[in-house]
Amino acid sequence: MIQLKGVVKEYGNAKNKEVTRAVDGIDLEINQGEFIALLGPSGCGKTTTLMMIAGLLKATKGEILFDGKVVNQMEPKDRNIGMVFQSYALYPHLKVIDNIAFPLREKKVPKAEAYEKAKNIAKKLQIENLLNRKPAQLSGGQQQRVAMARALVKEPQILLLDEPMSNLDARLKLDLRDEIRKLQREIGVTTIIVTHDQEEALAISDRVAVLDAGKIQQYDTPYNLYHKPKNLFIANFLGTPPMNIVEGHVEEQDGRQVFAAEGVRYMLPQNREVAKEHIGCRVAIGLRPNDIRICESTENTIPVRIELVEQLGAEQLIKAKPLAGDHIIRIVAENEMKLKAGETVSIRILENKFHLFNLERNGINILS
Amino acid sequence: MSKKILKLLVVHTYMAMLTVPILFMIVWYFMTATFNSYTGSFSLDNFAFMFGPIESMGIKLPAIWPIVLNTLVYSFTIVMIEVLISVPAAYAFSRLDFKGKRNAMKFLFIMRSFPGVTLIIATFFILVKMNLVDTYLGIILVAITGSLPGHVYIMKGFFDEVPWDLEWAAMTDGCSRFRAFRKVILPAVKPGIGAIAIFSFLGAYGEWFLFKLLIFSDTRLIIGGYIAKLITEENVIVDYGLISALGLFYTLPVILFYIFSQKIFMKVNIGGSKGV
Ligand SMILES: Nc1ncnc2c1ncn2[C@@H]1O[C@H](COP(=O)(O)OP(=O)(O)OP(=O)(O)O)[C@@H](O)[C@H]1O
Ligand SMILES: [Mg+2]
Repeated sequence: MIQLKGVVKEYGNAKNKEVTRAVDGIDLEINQGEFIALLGPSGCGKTTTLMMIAGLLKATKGEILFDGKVVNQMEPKDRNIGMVFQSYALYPHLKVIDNIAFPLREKKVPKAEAYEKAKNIAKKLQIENLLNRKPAQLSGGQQQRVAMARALVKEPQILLLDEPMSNLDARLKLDLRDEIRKLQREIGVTTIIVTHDQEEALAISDRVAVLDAGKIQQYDTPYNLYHKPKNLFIANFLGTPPMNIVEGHVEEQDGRQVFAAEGVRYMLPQNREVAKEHIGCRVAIGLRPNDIRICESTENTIPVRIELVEQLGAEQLIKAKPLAGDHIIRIVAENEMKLKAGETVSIRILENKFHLFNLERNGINILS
Repeated sequence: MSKKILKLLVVHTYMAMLTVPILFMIVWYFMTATFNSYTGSFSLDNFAFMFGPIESMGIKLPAIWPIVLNTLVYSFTIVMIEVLISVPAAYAFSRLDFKGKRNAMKFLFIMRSFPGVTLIIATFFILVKMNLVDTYLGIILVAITGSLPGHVYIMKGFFDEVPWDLEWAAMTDGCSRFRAFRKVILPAVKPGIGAIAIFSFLGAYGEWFLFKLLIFSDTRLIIGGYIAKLITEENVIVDYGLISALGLFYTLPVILFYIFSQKIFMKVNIGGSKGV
């Protein structure tokens, strides 16, 4: 088990004594054999966190524990980690086979055994026909496999992957993703992947830690992240096309609660009403484009005018504006519906699929 | 006639115009060395220096082979010292954080572009005070002070090119920092080490000024200083045939070295990770 307790990393700038906090108090627990992802926008501290786990950077504050033992002072070489870098970082002067055997040779594994193991792992990753090439003679995808093999050959306790697929084309990415997942299951190595590709993170990992500004915003299963976002940041960050966020407030009317915003009035279902303290606060409603239906005008629907219809292939994306408002609402609709720009239609919000965030309390989700 | 041929023609004419004078000088140089200037016939008399001490127009030259040995010892010592100092120093400048690094870098830069000759009188007096005049130690110190900053600078450039990822990868693969340096970084900067080794060698091999100034004993001369003896106080070259022959003897190894090593240098490639 890997534990991070209140880990902080500050980068000093010797010239003007300025300090930047790249990681700002992270708590994280990763179980044996688990596959987790660190996900977040560029510069949020993902790589920094990974490097601290690898021991390549020293934490400014906080503790990192492997199986209950504090490892803050342990050298990277003693941590038994396999790491794949974004650039792959293959040793350019060594042939592929020597690259893969390198970690074993450093561990003083006898030559014959080291090369035997290197060949086995190469076979597993389908690169046994490349063993005598130099890294410069490989394609990106092949280099990635070699890097993977080199990380796995020493049977590490932890596998760290820093954006391992960001240099590959979309198709190859998908294949490799499944392969990595399969391999990880097979070997059972605890794995942390850093990525800014949310689809990749959600698809590949058991749990995802979403980072922003050096802090973990939510650490949860992919399902919960998508369906039960803890706050507005998570809701906004995950999902394509992105969630619709409409700012307004909740008010009481005839004993029922109503979400009201410019051009939008939506009576909350009785089983999903908010606590009294949120009434009158600045509140945003979050609606996934897939959770809105276009329908006949009936009770509790919102009239909108279609501004734009975009083909997504399997479905169509509608951009519409409430008749009495000026914000765009994105709606995903089936291709069978014949919709045209300029048309006025009504939309219905799926009763158990909307979220409310209190903007006066850091956008916390007040319905979950 | 196509544009391409025209272009080639222009380029070649231009290059020929530039190289012909140089070629002419080289040919002339060979001729002066191998023809007797009075009789105009082919002769190797000028190469008598290879077989023992000689005297020409009143200037005595000792046997050359001990001097050749001196030259090699001196040059390789300089190469060794410069490589051994500049490689670790450049690594530190490129990758370590230490106090005073910025100022040290600035100093290095100034030293690199400073014309050392302007300090030569002071240097001479310092060496006299330290009893280092007419010793190899003294001349090596002076020579290295002059060329080391530049070489550290060049070497630093090579280290800067090596991605951090490579070093980190080695460290997670079980290397200590030092071992990562030896096993991964050093091979990656090999071309750089080769380059500064050659620069140092050529610098040392071609040295004559410092020898003329700081070395008085004929037994400690190197070839450059040896040839310089043929130039009198009044800046008159006393024997053109002899000096050309000596020059040929002096430059031939370097030219041969260039011809044979140029292929290797062309092949040298740095870096290997894609996509950075
Ligand atoms: N060596 C450094 N010195 C100073 N600041 C740094 C250093 N390395 C990173 N930072 C800063 O720390 C923050 C986090 O960097 P980090 O590399 O961890 O981001 P990241 O989440 O991996 O981003 P990306 O997705 O772009 O790789 C950034 O704001 C970055 O500018
Ligand atoms: Mg990063």
